[in-house]
Amino acid sequence: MIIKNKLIFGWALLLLCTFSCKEDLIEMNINPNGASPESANPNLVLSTVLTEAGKSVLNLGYQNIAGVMQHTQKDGWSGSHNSYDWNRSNSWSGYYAILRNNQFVYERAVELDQELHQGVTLVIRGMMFGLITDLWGDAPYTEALKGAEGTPEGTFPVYDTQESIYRGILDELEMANQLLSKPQSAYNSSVESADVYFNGDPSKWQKVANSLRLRFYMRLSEKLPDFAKQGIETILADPATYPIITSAGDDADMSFNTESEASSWPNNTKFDVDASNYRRLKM
Amino acid sequence: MVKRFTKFNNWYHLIILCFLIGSMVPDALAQSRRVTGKVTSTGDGLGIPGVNVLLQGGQTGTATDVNGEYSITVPDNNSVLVFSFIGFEPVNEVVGNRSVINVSLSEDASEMNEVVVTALGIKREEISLGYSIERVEGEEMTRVAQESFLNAMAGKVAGATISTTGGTGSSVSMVIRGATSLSTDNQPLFVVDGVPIANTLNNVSSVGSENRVDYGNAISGLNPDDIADISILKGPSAAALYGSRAGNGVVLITTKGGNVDRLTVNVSTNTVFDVPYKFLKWHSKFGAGQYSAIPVDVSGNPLTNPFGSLVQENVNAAFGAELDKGYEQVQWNSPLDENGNPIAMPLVSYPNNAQNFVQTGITSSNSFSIANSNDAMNYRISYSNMRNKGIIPNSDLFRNTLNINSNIKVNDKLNISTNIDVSRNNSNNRPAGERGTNPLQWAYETSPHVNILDLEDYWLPGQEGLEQKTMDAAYDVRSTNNPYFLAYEVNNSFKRDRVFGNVKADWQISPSLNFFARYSLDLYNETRESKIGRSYSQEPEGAYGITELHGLETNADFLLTYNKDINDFGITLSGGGNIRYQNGSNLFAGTKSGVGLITPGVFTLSNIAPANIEYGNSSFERGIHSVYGLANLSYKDMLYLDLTARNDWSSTLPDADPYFYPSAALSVLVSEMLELPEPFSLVKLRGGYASVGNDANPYQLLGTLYNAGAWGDIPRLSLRSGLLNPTLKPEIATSYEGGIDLNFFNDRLRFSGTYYKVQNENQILGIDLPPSTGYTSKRINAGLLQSEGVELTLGSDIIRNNNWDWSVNLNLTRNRTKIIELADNMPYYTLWEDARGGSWTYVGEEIGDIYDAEVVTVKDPESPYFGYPILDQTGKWQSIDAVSSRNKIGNFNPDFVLGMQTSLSYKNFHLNLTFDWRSGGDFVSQTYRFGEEHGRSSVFLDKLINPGELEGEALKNYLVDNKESMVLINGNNFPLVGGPTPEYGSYPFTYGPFTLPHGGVFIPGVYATEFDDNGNPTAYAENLGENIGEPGGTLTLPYAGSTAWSFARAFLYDASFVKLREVSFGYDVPKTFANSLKMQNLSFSVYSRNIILWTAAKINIDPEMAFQPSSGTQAGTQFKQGIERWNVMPWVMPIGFKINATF
Repeated sequence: MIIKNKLIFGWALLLLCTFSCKEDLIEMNINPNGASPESANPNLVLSTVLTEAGKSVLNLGYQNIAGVMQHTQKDGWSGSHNSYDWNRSNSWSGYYAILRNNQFVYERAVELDQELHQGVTLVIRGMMFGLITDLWGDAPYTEALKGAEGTPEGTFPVYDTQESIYRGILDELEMANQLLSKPQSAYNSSVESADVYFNGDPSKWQKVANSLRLRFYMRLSEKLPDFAKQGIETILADPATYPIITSAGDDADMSFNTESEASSWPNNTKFDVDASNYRRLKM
Repeated sequence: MVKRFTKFNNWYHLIILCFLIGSMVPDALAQSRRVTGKVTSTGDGLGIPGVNVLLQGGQTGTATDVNGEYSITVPDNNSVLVFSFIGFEPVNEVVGNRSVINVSLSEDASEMNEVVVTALGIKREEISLGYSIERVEGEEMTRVAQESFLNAMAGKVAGATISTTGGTGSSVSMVIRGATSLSTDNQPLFVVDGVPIANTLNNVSSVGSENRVDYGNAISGLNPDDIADISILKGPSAAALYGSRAGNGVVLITTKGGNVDRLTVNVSTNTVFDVPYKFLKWHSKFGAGQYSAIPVDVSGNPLTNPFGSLVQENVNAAFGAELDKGYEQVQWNSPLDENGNPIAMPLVSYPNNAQNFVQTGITSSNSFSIANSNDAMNYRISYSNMRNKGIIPNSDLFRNTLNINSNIKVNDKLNISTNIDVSRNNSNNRPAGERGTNPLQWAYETSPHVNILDLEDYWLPGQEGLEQKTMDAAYDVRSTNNPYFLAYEVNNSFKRDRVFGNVKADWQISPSLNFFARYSLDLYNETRESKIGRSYSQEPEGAYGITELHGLETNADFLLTYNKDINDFGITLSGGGNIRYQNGSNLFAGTKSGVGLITPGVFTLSNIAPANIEYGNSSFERGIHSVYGLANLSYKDMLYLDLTARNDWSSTLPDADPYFYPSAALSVLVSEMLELPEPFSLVKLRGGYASVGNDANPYQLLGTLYNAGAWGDIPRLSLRSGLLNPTLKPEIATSYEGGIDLNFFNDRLRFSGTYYKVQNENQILGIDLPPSTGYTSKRINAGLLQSEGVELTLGSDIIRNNNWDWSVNLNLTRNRTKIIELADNMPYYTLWEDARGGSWTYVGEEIGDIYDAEVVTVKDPESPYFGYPILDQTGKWQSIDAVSSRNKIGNFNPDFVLGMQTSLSYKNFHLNLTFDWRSGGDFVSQTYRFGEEHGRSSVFLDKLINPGELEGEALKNYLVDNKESMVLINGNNFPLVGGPTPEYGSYPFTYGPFTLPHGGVFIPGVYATEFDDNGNPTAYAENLGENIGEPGGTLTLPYAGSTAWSFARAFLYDASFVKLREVSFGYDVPKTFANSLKMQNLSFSVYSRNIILWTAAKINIDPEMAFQPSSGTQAGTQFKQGIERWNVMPWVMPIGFKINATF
C-alpha cells in the first residue's frame, strides 16, 4: 500500500502541475544566450551606434563611395569600386542598421527620462538620416525604423521627400540642442563609458548638433534660400544658445584602437594578413 | 489558468486525492476460494503475460503475470472464467471443483488480427485501426547487419523514404509521406519503449576551413539486435497522441524483453567485408596542366604549352600532355643525376589511383544477451559491440551498447518495469565529406601522371610533421593535397555517450480499470575533436577545435484506461497527461579559420595564439505540458471508431497559450457485415482525419542583444537585424487518409491501399523586410504546404507447405508536395542554391524543382537557327540567370518508389531478398561539374565531337544534319567539336596572349553580328566549323576553357536506381542437433547489402548520395537534396557472415 500511495501521490502531483505550471513555461522561454533588451544598460548599445556611425562616415571616403567619387581606385577586384556598380552591398541597409540600434537607445532614454541620451541619439539620427538623404534623396523617414511594430505602415515604410527629411532632422537637431544645453553634472545619466567621440561631454555634442544644422541648412540653400538663410542667421546670432564647432578640438573624431579587426582601420595589415586589399586601394 | 494554486493548496489537494484513490484499491476479498493456473500459448508453449482473466457476468478479474500465471478468487463451482488476450481466441472454462486451471490459448487465425503497437504503447489489433500503420519485425533488422537499424528498413515500409547520406556512420534520413515542413528536417519522432529519443538529421560540423564532417545521427546508437518490433505510425492520424513532434510520423520501437521460460543466452556474431569495386568515370589520359601540350618533335609545331613544360605540376587540372606516349619531362619525384640535377622521366599514366587508395572495409558486430524469468520478475540484459574499419584508410567507427529490460511483479495488480539503454558511439577518425579535407576527393584529384602509392609516405622527406608530400610541394602556393596526409593527419574524432530509459508502473485497479505512470529520460553527451596537421592547403598552419554537446529530455506521463463491453458495443476510454522537459547546450573552442596553431602538431587550446582562438557556447530549455484523451468504440467486431483529443502548452509559444488538436478514425469491416464470395477473406474500409500542432523552437519570440565585439575595453551590444515574432502561432498539420484492405484466399493474398493528403499551415518562415524598417528579416507564420500520395502494398504467400515456404511482398509509394501558399511578397521558397542553379519552389508548384541558368538560344521559330545557342563574341555560351529565366530543369523527387521483399524457405534453408527501386527524379552532380572543370572526367572527353576528316561546309552540314545531338542543347548534352590533340580533331586557338596550334574546340551555334537599338541581335554568324579562326568565321576556344561550368543542367542526371538492399542465405541447424550441442537454436547465414544493381545516370555515383549533408539557403536544418559534391564513396560489394546461437 505504501508503494502504491507514493506512486499515486507522485502522479497526482504531475496531473496538478500540468494545469498550474504555465508560469514556469513562460519563464523557460527567456533566452539565456543574450542580454535582455528590457534590462540592458543603453550605453552598451550606444557604444555600437557611435563606433559604427564613425566607421560608416570613414567608409564614405575610403570604400566604394570614394571609388565612385574617383578619390580612390583599385587595381584588382575593382568591379564595384572603379565602376558605378551599385549592387545590394551599396544599399542603405547599413545606415538603417545603425539607426535601429540608435532608435533603441533613444526609446530607452525616453522611457528612463535620460535627456543626455536623448540628445546624443537625436544628433546621430540627424547625422544618419542626413547621410541617407544626401546620398539617395527621397527615403523612408517618418515611418522608418518601425518594423517591430508589425503594422503595414511600419513593415513597408513610405518614402518621404528629401525636403521633409531635411526639415525633420533640422527640427530634431534643434531639440537635441535644447536637450544637450545643460552642464554634464546636471544630467541624471552619463554616456561617458560609450562615448568614443567626446568622452561624455554634452557641450561638445551640442556643438555637433548645431554644426550639423548649419550643414543641412547649407544643403537647402539653393532650393529654400530664405529658410536656410534664416536658420543659419539664428544659429550664428546667438552662440550662447547655439554653440557650434569652432576649433579642431571640437571635432567628433574616433580613434581606431587596432585591438581587433572590427576596431581597426579597414584593410589594415595587422588583421587582414594577406595585405593585398591594402595594396590594391590607391588614393 | 488564471489562478495559480499556492503550495499549501497543492499539498492539500494531493492528500485528499491520495486518500480517495488509496481507498479504492480492492486489496483483498477473502470470502470465496482461490483458483490459480498458467496461461500458455498453443504455438510455443510459453506463458503469456497480461491475459485478462475475468469472472463471467461479474466485475472480478485479474491478469496473468510475466510468466503467464494468475490467481483469482471465485464465488462457487459454477463460476466461469473467461481468458482473453489480444490476438488470441478467447477461452471459457467452468471452474468446477478444480483449484488449478491451466489454459492454452491459440492465436487468432486471421493474419489481419496482428497486434500492433500504437501511440503511447497501446497494443491494438490491426483490424480495428482506421489508419495505416506499418510493422517491421525485429528479425528484419538483424538478418543482415547494418550499422544503423534505419538502413534495415529501406525498401520495407510503404510511404517511408530512407536514404543514407554518405558512407558508413553517416546520417540516415527517414522521411514519411514527404517533407511537409519547409524549415525543419522532417524526420519522424523515434520512441523506444516509450522514451522519445532525440534525433536530428543534420549532424555536420566543421572545424577549420573546409573540413565538413557528418558525425551521424544519434538514433543509430541503438543495437539492432535489441529490437523486438517496430511500428511506423505514418500520418498525423496515428500520431495525434504524440503531439507536437509527431507531425512527420512516429517510429515506435519495442525492445526485447525477458519473456522466456528459462535461462536463455543468445550469442550472435557478424562480420561484413565491404569490397570497393566501382569508381568515378575518370580518365588517365592526360597529365596536370591547363593547355594540352604536345612536344615540338611530335607536332612539328612549337611546344604547345606557353609555360614551357608538358605537364604543369602546380595546376590542379588534367588538361596537360597526353600520357603513355613516351614524352619525357622532369617531374616532382624525378631522381637526381650525379650532378644533382633532376632527370627527365617518361610521363606515364596511373589509372588505378582511387582503387589503390581505398581498402576493404570490415565491420564486425557481436552481441550477447541473457534473459530469464521467475514468479516475481523477468529480465533481459544485452551487450553488443560493433567495430568498423572504413574503406578510407584510418577511418573507423565503434558502438558499444548495454540494454537492460526488466519487469517486476509487485503483486497481482501492480507491475513495475524498466528499460535502460546505455551506449557509446565513437570514432577516432570520421572521414570528412564534400570537398576540402575529404581524402577521397584528393584521391580522385591526384593527377593521373602521379602514382598515388608514391604519396603513401605523406611527409616530405626532412620536413616530417611540417609539409605534406604533393606534386606541387615545391611551389609557393599549394593547390593540391595528399589524400594519405588528409586520411592520417586530419583526425575528426567523436564520442557520444547516451543513456535513455524509463520506469513504468502498471496498476490493474480492477478488470476494467487500468492505470500506468511512467518517467523516462534521454541524456547524451558528445565530444567532437578535430585535429588538422600543418600544410593542409586551406589551413597551412594546422587547426584544432573541440565541441561539447549536451542534451537532456525527460518525460513524465500517465494514462488511466477504462474499458467496458455492453452487449455488442465495446468502449475503451483513456485519459492522461505528459510533462516534457528538454534542455541542451553546446560549447566550442578552436582556431579561427585559416590562422593556425603556434607549434605544429600540438593539438591543445593553449597552443592557439589568443588572437586566433574563437569560442562560444549556448544553451536552451523547452517544456511542454499536455493532457489528452482517447476513446475507442467498437460494434460487433465490424465497426471501430477511434477519437483522440490533445491539448498542449508549450514554453516556446507566446504566453504558453494552449493549443488543441483532435483526430478521428473509422474502420469498417465489410467482410463481417456481408457474406462475401469465396476468394475474399477480408474487406476493410478505413478513413481518418487528424490534426497535429507543432510548436516553435525555443526563443523565437523576442530577440536578445548580441555581442558586437568590444571596441578596446568598451563593450558593444546590438539588436539583431532579424526580427522575431512575439505572436507566433503553432504550425498545424491536418491530414486526411482513406484506405482499403482486401485479403483473398484465406489471407494468402493481401492488398492494402491508402490515399492521404496532408496540409501543413502556419509554417514558421523568415521573410525579408525593407531595411528601412530597421530590420532585414522577420519571422512569420505563413504558407500552406500540401502533400498528397498513395501507398499500395501487396503481399502473398505463394507456396506454403511442409518443406517449402515462399512469400513476396511489394510496396509502392508516390508522394507529391506542393506549396499552395507563401507569404506576401514571397514568390518562391529556396531550399538551396548551388552550381549556378538551385532548388526552389514557386507558389502552386512542387517541392523539389531544380532551376538553372538558361543558355541563350535563338527563340524565333522562323529562323533557320531556331534553338541554336547564341554564343558571345569569344564563342562561349551565354546565360540568363536562373531566377530571371525561371528555367526549370528537373525535380529531385522520385516519381515512385517500389520496394520488394521475398523470402524463400526450404526446410532449414532460407533465402531473403529486399529490392528498392526509385524511379524518376533528377540530381545535379557537382563532382562531375568539378571533374569537367578540372579535366578529369572521361564523360567530358567522351562527349567531344571528333570532326575527323570533315571541315568547312561538309563539317557544318554534318553538324546541322545531326543537330539534335550536335548543335542543340538537349538534356545535359552541351556539344563541343574538337579536343585536346590531333587524334580528337583539335583546332588551333588564341587565348589571351597565346596562340596555340592544338588543343582547341568550338561550340556549335551562332553569334550575333548586328543588333537593333535595344541590343537584340538581328543577324548572326554561324559558328559551325567554317572559316575557323577567321573574322566572321568559327570561333575556337582552348578545350580547358570550354567546359559547361556555368550551367548546372550539363551535370543533371536521372536519379532512378535499383538497389538490392539485402540478400541473405541462411541455414538453421536442426533442433535435435542443436539440442545435442546444448543449444536451443543455431543458425548460420551469409549476406550482402546495399548493392547498386542499376542506375539510369551511369556515372558510377549512387543517386541516393545526392543528399548533400550541408544546410541550404532558407531550409533551416534540411540537407541539400538533389545535389552532391564529392559525396562519392566507391560502390562496394559487401560480403557478410553471421552466426547466431541460443543456449
